[in-house]
Amino acid sequence: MTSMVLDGLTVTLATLSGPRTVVRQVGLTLQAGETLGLVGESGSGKSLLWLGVLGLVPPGTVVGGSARLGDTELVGAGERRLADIRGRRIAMVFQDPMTALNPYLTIGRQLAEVVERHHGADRAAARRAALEMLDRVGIPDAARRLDLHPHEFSGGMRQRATIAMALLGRPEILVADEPTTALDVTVQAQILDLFAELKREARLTQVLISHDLGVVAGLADRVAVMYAGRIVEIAGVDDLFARPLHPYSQGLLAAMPRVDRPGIGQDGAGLLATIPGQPPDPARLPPGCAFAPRCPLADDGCTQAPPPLQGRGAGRQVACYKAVAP
Amino acid sequence: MAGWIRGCAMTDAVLPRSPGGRAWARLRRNPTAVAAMIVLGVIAGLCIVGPWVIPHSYDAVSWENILTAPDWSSGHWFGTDPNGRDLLARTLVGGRISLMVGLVASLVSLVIGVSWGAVAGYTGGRVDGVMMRIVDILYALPFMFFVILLMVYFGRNIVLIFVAIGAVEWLTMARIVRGQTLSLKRREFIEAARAIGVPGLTIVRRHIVPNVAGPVIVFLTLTIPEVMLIESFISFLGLGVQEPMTSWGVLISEGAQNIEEAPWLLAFPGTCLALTLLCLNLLGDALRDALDPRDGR
Amino acid sequence: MSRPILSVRDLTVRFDLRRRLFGPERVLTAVDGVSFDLGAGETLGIVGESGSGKSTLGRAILRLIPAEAGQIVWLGQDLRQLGERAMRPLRRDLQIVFQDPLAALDPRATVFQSVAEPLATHRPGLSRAQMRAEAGRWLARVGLDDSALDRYPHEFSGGQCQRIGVARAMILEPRLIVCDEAVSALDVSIQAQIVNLLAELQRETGVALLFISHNLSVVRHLSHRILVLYLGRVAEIGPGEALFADPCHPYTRALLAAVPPPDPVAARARPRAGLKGEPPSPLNPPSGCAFRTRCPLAIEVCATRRPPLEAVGNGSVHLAACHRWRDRSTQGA
Repeated sequence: MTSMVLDGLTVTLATLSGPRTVVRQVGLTLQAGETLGLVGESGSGKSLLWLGVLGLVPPGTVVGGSARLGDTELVGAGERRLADIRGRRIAMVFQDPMTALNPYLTIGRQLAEVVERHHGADRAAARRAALEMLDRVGIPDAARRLDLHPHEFSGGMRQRATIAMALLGRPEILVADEPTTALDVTVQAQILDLFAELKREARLTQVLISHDLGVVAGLADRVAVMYAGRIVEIAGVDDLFARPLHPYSQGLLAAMPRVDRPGIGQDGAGLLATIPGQPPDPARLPPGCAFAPRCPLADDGCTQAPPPLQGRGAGRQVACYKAVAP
Repeated sequence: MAGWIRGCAMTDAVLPRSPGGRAWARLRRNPTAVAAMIVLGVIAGLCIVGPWVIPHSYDAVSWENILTAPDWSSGHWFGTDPNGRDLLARTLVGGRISLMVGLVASLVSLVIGVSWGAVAGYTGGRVDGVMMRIVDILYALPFMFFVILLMVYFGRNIVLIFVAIGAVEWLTMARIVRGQTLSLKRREFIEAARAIGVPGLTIVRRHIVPNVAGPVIVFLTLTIPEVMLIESFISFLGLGVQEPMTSWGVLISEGAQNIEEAPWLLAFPGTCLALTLLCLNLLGDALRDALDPRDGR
Repeated sequence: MSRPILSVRDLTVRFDLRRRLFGPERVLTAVDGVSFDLGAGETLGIVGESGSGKSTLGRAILRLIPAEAGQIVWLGQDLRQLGERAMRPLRRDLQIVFQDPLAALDPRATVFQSVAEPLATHRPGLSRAQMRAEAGRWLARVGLDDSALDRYPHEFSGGQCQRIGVARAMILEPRLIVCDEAVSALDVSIQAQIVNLLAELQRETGVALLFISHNLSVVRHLSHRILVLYLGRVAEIGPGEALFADPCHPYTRALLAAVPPPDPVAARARPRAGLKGEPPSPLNPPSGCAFRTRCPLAIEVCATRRPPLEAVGNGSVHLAACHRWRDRSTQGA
């Protein structure tokens, strides 16, 4: 069953130096209950894609294309419509929990508000639901903590609280944008375990956005790799990691140091394989494939037009003229 | 923990590259700022050049022409004052004095204030405490009392006005610069300079002062009006410049005394002062925006 | 190792966080009795999470912040005994690269001015042309063009700014560079470039590196030896390979287990029962062993007696501060 379909989605920011298109013609289909990992570096557009869909963009931003959630079209829907959808049908969790939490209200109040607004419950019922959810996300001593303020929570617990807030709306889709980047590694592991549980038990459809391939590897069913505002590869998680087809995906995987592999020896052997150059400025993309300037496989054919996403076997798509299996 | 840096990629080759150059470009794009700068330029230009060009002189007394209304034909475009002197010439000459006082006193306050504030802020600790307590104490002294004392003791002296005013204005400048220095001190590039072994005073001179230029310049454009008003007030009290030299403050004082018979005596210098102050304030606001862009460009 | 160039002994850094002038004492012990050696041309990776004190440690060693107790013996001299003036000439050999590449450069100075500042400070006799030549040489060495000399930091990307920072740190050919989360704020592909750059520079010039990071993968890749910090104390220290092959301190084991590997098969096989709770506040460390509140092996003695650093293998190169390190394989994590 399809949960959400994006087609030709484009996000153009209005900046002092003119319009900048940061998301270009993104199309993907989200299946109900699946976890999609969205990977990319700075300027890839992975966050702005979802912020654009939800209308959480600066004034003057133009969002084009289509984003259908079931029967509802999100692109072009008015602010009121989007406000109803946000939290209720699609909930988002951010890197910094304090973007979602009001420092002046207690956690309990903020969580209850979500229930009251989206499900019309009364105060008492809302508070009970909030308590249950805090418990569910693994916050110890939840009853007492309901009446604390965000600054009295530690970083990891704050993030759990925002996840609780997101879940209370009972959304169809949970979008998590770098949810663990700001956390210590041992706390990150706990939050990732929580996501895994939610996936197993609640069968929640999740979009996990991260620059960290490790985070995505353990949780995602499918992974989409973005570069310069476009999706360059989508594949099942095992396929992508075992046999990445797009040169950028290959480069990214090769450039990551591994904690389970030995490092540089005394003689300098084992330097990381790097992708030369740096991610492009969205305002000045080359004609043709945006990755071509850094690509070991690029030739003249790559500079005419950006390569389209093409099917390459079961559930796999690659946007590259030159992709060959590694 | 680690934030993510969005690469601040290459800017246009067209935009000037230095931070100062970029600020200037931003300023030029602001119509209010441009208008204010033009008006200020015109006023300053007229005050500097005008008295040599116009027919009448500022101190030529003429008993036939006392308190005449503005009149094109006679050349007294602003009318005359109780001594028959041409108001236009006096306004322009007075403008020279007022603008000069404004500029010089502000610069004096700039030099003292920036040095004091930067050294106090960077050194920190007890030295900072002592230096800022001195500022606090001086702040509390009644300024007018101090100025009047100086005037009475040394007589009415134009240089003294500069010194007196500058000596007071530097206090706020010092506070502002100290605040900026405190926040700058924590930035990594200052730590980098310390790690290199750059001596403290050199760090202040090379890294701190250029980086407080923004707020300092803004404050300067807002200090000048304040200084001019102080000068006007002193002159209004009769303690300012000596006759026959004049300033806008003196003219306004005289104008206020003759407001019924000769309203033009107040209107023209008053308008000039008000216009100048308005332009300086608008420029100050625009400078603040130009020097502190939100989008990092 | 042959005589180490840096020997840190029992270094302690405390911050007084008293709220009011005569209020109750609130002392934050950021670094608590840390000791280690560093050999010439070696990379010591310092890992830890929030509150571990690793950044404070790096800065204290360079005397950028004062330490309360301990010794910092650099080439036979205790740096803690030296005043700022005496430190200055020694700073030629002790450099630092920061986490935020753009913030580490004076926005109002050209790249040339920033990179040449160490030259202007320590070799003032050089002519401007000579300084430009040196600066240009080092910029080329880190992969940047000459034209960068007259440009400003904001014109460059994060990775390029970090290269400029490295050029500035290297220009006096120091013997030690402290890398304080030097690659943490960079994209993965750029991170790899900077890591390689550091490794190459070390091979060519023999500079020693104190590589501070929370990212275990990068640390493993770059370091010869590794120091694990928890709440300002040394949990474990040893040769990289030995430490990763057989970590002896429960915290090190937990840390390694917590890193999500970029491999779906390995990730799914990872045991779920990780560490509970969060690092305690350094303002109020647990008695005895700081890690005992989260440790699966904690017993009574852990609350009463702080574990000393003991050798856990042959020789004294691999040390761990744990009463029960011998029982490590029963951890189950």
